[in-house]
Amino acid sequence: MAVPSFAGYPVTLFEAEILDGIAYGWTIYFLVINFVILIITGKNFFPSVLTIAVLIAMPVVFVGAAISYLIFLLGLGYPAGPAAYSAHYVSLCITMLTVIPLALSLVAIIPFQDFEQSMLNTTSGVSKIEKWALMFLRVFNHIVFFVIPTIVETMREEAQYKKWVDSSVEASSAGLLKGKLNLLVRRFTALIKDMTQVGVEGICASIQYIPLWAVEISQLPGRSK
Amino acid sequence: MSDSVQLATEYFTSYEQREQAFRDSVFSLIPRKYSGPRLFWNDFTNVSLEDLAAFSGHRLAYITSNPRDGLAFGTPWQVLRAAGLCARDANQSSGFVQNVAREFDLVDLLDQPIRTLSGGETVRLALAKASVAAAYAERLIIASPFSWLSRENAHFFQRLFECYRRSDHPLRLLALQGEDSDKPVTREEFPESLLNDFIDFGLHLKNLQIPLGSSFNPIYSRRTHAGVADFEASLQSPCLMVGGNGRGKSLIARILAGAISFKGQAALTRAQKPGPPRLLFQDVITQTLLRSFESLAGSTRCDNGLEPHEICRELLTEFRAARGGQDIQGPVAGFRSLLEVKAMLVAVRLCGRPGAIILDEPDWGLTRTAAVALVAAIVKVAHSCGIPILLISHKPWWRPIAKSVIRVDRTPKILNGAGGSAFEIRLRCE
Repeated sequence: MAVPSFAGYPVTLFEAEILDGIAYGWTIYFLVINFVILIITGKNFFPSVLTIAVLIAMPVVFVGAAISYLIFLLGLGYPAGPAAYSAHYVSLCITMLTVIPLALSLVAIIPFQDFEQSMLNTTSGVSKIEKWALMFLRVFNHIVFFVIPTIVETMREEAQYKKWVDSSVEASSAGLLKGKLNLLVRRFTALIKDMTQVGVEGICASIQYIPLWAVEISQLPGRSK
Repeated sequence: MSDSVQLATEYFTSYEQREQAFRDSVFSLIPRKYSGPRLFWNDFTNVSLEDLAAFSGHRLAYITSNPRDGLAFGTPWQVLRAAGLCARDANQSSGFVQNVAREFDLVDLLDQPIRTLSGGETVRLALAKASVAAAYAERLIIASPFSWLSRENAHFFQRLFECYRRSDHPLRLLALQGEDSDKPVTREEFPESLLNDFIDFGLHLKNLQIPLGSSFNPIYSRRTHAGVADFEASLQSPCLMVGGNGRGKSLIARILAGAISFKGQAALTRAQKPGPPRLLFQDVITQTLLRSFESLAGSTRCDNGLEPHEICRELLTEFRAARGGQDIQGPVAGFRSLLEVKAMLVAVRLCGRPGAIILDEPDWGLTRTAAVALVAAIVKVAHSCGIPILLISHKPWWRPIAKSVIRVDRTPKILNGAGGSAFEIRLRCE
């Protein structure tokens, strides 16, 4: 199922467009992939996957389009205006909403943790290539099953409070457009701030123990001949 | 702890000093995350430029101040197997991992991801790994060996200590002052005026089910959950939740604060309609998400117009008062101390009119005197705002100051239990 996203075949054969940037091939592939993920991973997993995909795809698409528009306004490029690049961003959006859920589902389906186990289940030592693989798997599993869940717990604790504040603001500004707009702006700013913090914390927490683990994994006995 | 352990321990007056000493002992291989992203990145770059192969010749056994951090593999089986391979013992006996696991009461946990182990289980695994490493390690270094251990697990540590002493391996035990104390807080340590101060509140748990494991589980892994027996009680703040390692105290705290997903009802109730309860995690460094002191404060504002900075200042003033005017250690090289970070995290939470403030192992990263003074300051400021405090600890320190005590216990772990429930957590008032 994942091969077309890497190889392009046969998705790119159906190039005819429904609208500018929305080709039949990618649209059908997007729908099929997301439907299959929903069936395989279940309704508990799929909403999280879709949320992550949207959170990653939207800033990329909108910021990209905004930069292109700025280039056009400054007269540095795109003389034909938004019509010259809008199709690219619409197509990018569809691609990202297909590829990100696919990648996340692969992570959830492939038993990466078992690979670590099987590499250590040896009586003849660990080869150099296996040590590299162990290091890669260690960092990967640490990010997916440790760093991300820990950050999510911290953010959930803070979100409870934010939700409560928002609900009281919403109640007090019921019917007022200005109040609703303020709330929307605040939510958006908070989302951007949170994503930046998550990015910094995520990177640092992911790499913090790499030197220590590298030394420890390198100390595993080499394969005896 | 025995006298020989105390004699072998180096005591420090701050978290930062102890972490630095640990870091020096492990060749600066761990970048300092507690001092912000810039210093972290400098440390990481410096160690990346070193030739890591040079360190491979040094065989160290170590336990980091958060024991799960130094385990290097994903499951207890992998950790013990890797240690066994290094000790060249794993090949000699097929039951090697099982034998070590039996010795440290880890048999049922061998395939469980490390993040899903409780604090007590993680400490036992770290001790088991260090025990296997005794066969090859040049020395053993442990940061804060007493902080995570409850009394029932202390004999595992004592056994490891004796094992290294017998084999004449150098030992470096790095602790914070008073961390090893088993004595309850005395009237001299805690302001007497607070001992008569209390706030009424209630705790209500019904039909609770907590999914065990990571919030991002591989879909092929079997989802298990823990049940919580229904519980309803009228309590008084400061309330203390006690229980040994791995009883489920932190799980209950996370449920009450909404940090993990669960099914059923869990609520802290008060006469006035409050906001949600807020939790100060045990590992506050992770909780900061590497935000600066300023951005931690955010833009929250109290009903009475106070800002987190002002509440934080009030907390630190009360902290100094509880220590008889003794000053706190100020920012080190521009970075705030762990104590100040804790005070700010509590201040932000106090600003939001929470239903309660939950402090999970409030002594983590602090000396005994600092921990007692900080808890006294938090109780005073929170009570003055009408906010109840729930302390969670396996240490016997806090009993004399608690107005009500809840004991958390759990049934033994049953794999493939009825309805997928691995065990049941039970609460009772003492």
